Amino acid sequence: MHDVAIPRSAATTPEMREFSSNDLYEIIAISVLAPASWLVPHRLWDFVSVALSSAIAFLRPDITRRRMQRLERCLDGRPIPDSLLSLRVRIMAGYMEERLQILREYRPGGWRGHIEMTGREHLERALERGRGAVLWVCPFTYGDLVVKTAMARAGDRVTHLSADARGFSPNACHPWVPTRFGLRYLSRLRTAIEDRYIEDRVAMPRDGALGYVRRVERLLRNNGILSIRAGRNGHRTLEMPILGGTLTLATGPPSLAQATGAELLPVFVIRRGPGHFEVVFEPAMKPAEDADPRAAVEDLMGRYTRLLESYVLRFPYMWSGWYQMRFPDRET
Amino acid sequence: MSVAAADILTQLRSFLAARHQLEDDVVLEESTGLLGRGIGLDSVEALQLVGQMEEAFGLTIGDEELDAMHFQTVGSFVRFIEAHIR
Repeated sequence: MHDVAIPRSAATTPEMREFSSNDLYEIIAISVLAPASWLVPHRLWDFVSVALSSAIAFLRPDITRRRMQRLERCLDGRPIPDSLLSLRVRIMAGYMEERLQILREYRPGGWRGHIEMTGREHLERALERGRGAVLWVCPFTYGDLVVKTAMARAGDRVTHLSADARGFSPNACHPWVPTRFGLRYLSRLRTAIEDRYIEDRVAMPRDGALGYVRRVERLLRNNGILSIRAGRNGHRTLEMPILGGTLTLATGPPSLAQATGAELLPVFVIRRGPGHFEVVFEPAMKPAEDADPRAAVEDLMGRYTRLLESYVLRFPYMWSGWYQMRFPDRET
Repeated sequence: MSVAAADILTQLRSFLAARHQLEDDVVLEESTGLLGRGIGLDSVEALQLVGQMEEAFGLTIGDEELDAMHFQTVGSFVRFIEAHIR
């Protein structure tokens, strides 16, 4: 594990482009999936997503081969329940199904998936302590909307901390480079739906100003619930060993919990079947008592990454990080 | 260097030392990075540092004043706090 100096967010790039080919790809995907999301029954989404993904994998064998090589490199010999081709197809299918959920939300009646919660007692226990809870939400497909929907259905008032710039497709095969068009329209397509299920959204401003940190600290000190998706957006990031490579993760969630005394709860989403999800609250991660604050945060980062890896190996098609992994020792 | 700047540097050094982020013999240069690069504070640590300065010098610094440019280097941070002390 080591510190890496990367930009706080791609959104801090001063020369933001107006439009990109990724935007065009998203528009095409939305154009194809929007009618399906409104007209095709929930129970057939899995079939539609897998059929489309299989067709794409078949029609673009060069890309499919490269993706499978990438997955193999990430796994570095670790066994998974699926073949690499099946995993490649399921990752794409998850990408599509998540979009179907979001687009369905725009139809009257919205998306009505079945969501179970496991380990919710950990959250209740955290709130009984009166110092708030930081939900460290896994970077899994479906994670954003499903967790927020589940929390809203349970009556929880959640504030979500997010990057100011985020794509419609955080789990896409290519990192989304923000564009003016994307920020104005594509991001809004997603956040407008998510915002129906949360109490508030705090965005990390593009200019790097830090006032938002005080806002979320006040929320936690008032025993609030703050959700943060595990990712690379933050002023300090660490390159965490995972599988056969590394993943860049921001230290924000453990650092916030450490500073405020809030409980830090890893949250995972598992797809149990078509339209059926389980949201898992893991037990609160306690910082090591004898460590200095920075060492405690780094220890929590390591424990979180190991937990993430165990979920990835059990539910590999859920993870949106396959194409973000790095291989520092082997990079030329 | 003004008296205030020297005091601010002393506070900064004590903050970093308490977190094992600074060896005793390391010289803090004006150009040493504070947030992200260099010393490598994260946003929460940067706010804790501001809190320590507020307490040490009896200051109140508003949320809207916490621009990233003040945290880029040791020098910019010292000037930021110094301006509030005056």
